[in-house]
Amino acid sequence: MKKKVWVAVLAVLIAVVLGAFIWFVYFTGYDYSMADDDTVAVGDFTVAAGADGSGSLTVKEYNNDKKGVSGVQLNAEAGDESFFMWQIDGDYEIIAGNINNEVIRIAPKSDLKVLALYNDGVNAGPANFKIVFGSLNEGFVQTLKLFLITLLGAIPLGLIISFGSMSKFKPISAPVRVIVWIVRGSPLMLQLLIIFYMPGMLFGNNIWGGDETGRFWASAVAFILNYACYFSEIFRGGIQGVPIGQHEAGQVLGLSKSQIFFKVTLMQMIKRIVPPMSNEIITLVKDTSLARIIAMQEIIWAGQAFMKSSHGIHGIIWPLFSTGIYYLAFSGMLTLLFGWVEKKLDYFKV
Amino acid sequence: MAILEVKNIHKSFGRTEVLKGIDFTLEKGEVLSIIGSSGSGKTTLLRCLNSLEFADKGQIVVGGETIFDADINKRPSESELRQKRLHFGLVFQNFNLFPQYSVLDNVTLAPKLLKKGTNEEIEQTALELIESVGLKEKINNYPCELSGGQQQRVAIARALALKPEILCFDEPTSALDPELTGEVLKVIKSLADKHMTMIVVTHEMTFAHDVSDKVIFMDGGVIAEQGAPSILDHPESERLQSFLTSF
Ligand SMILES: Nc1ncnc2c1ncn2[C@@H]1O[C@H](COP(=O)(O)OP(=O)(O)OP(=O)(O)O)[C@@H](O)[C@H]1O
Ligand SMILES: [Mg+2]
Repeated sequence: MKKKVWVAVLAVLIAVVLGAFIWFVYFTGYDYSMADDDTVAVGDFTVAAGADGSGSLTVKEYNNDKKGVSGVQLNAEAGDESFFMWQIDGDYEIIAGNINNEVIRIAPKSDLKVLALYNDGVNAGPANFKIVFGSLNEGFVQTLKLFLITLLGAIPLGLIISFGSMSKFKPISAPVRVIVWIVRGSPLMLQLLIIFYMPGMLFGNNIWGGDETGRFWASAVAFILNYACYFSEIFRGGIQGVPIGQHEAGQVLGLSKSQIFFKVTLMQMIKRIVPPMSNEIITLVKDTSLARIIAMQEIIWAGQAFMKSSHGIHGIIWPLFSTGIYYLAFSGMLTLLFGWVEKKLDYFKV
Repeated sequence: MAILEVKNIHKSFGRTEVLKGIDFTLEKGEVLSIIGSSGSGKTTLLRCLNSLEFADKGQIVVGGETIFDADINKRPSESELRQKRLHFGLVFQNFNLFPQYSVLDNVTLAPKLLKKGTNEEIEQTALELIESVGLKEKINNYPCELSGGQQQRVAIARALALKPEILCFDEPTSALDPELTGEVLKVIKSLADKHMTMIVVTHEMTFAHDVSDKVIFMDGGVIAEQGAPSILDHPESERLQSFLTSF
């Protein structure tokens, strides 16, 4: 009973938040920032009177080749209420506009406080919505591909590395452990950069190729290497965690090595491995976003692209936040899946 | 003829010599208790008998067949080794039941994998064994649902399912609370009554005295004294005397 109430409260909360979000992006169509190359129609703006009664405003075309920006330059007195920001040279740096393109606040440089809203006067919500989620879906497919290929490569490689690090033969185990230490001890972002750029720096040509496929495979290699090292430690823990007594009990019962492995120790290893693996795999979901450092077009890249004028829409920031929904949904599904697996293994204790 | 002859067993780990020449024989149907202070090599001796360790010197003969001879420098193949291990059963101090299997499956796993009969036969025998250790109601429970004493009794049934000629126990009750010790010792005693040949490493002096046919006192890797259980009442050596006064 109590549990049901909580579930209901949670469901309502989630519905409210999601509803508010969808309303916000769909029906308001507000864009949260302005691209550098955006233009504002030159015309007469009215400026609400400032506290001192002044309110003059001049608008002229603004073009700065050096900065690569163009637009309008506005000059006005300090006023109130701010909605959008526009950077210009001179004493005043903020121009505030409202929905009706009325500039209602100009602030001096020293008063720079708010990043405000810009609106182009059109409710672009419904159109944007389709384009944005279409593009985010593409980015997500890339993310998913990277995720699956990383798992597919890192699990077997991790197993091999774990056997290497457990080897009694020092010339094998020592270097393997050093590699694992380096890979686990340095940022994945750095590894991505090294794997993508190093071949080019060393041999003068980028073996990956500069296109999206090349970037994808460079990312995949970096992720597989990185995650294989993490997985190898989990496997090592799982394998070494099975008490030697289990092996010996199998031996004195006359079982063969493979019978002991498959019928006695494997299940206990799996039981030990599942919880840390599920943590690591959910971390991987989120880590895939790091691939953008070498400009692989994963989902956050796709989201951020809208800020930089691509896909025909520009200067909007909400798609970036929307990528969070994908991550939440994906990791939520994995959490449920692993929870189910753990529950299945709950019938015995190790 | 003795079912087991142990001849001049030596075993070292690195530089420490743990067994320094162990000799004894055991007749079929006899119960041998091995006592001795911690570190005297009792576990190591059982492990050598079960081929979990290999002695550096000496021979082990079971029923006239030499199953181990340190002078033969050839390491046995895995299948030979498995065959040799089946002469013995071993019950561990900490049970080592397979946690992912039910009581019944723990007992039937090895016989089924070793194809010791049809599945029906194996299960029938297992049920009888489980009943004989008093756990009929628990056949479908998992080890984590059992008390220590119950787990150890399952471990005994599991070892018996392979019909070993000699069943070894390594301190079968020392991981148990005192009130659970009795139920396990009762099971071992009932096996003795059925003339199961057994070697029991134990710290339970009353048990060693009442159940065994023969007692070996080990000290510092050698047999310091051996004989009928009455040596526990009238120890000859000073070492056994002082060992017994510590109880
Ligand atoms: N694998 C091993 N490597 C190195 N030393 C070992 C090994 N196994 C046992 N030993 C040493 O051999 C000696 C005898 O050990 P063992 O376990 O046979 O004694 P025990 O008589 O069974 O003692 P306890 O009553 O405490 O069980 C101990 O000093 C122990 O440290
Ligand atoms: Mg011992």
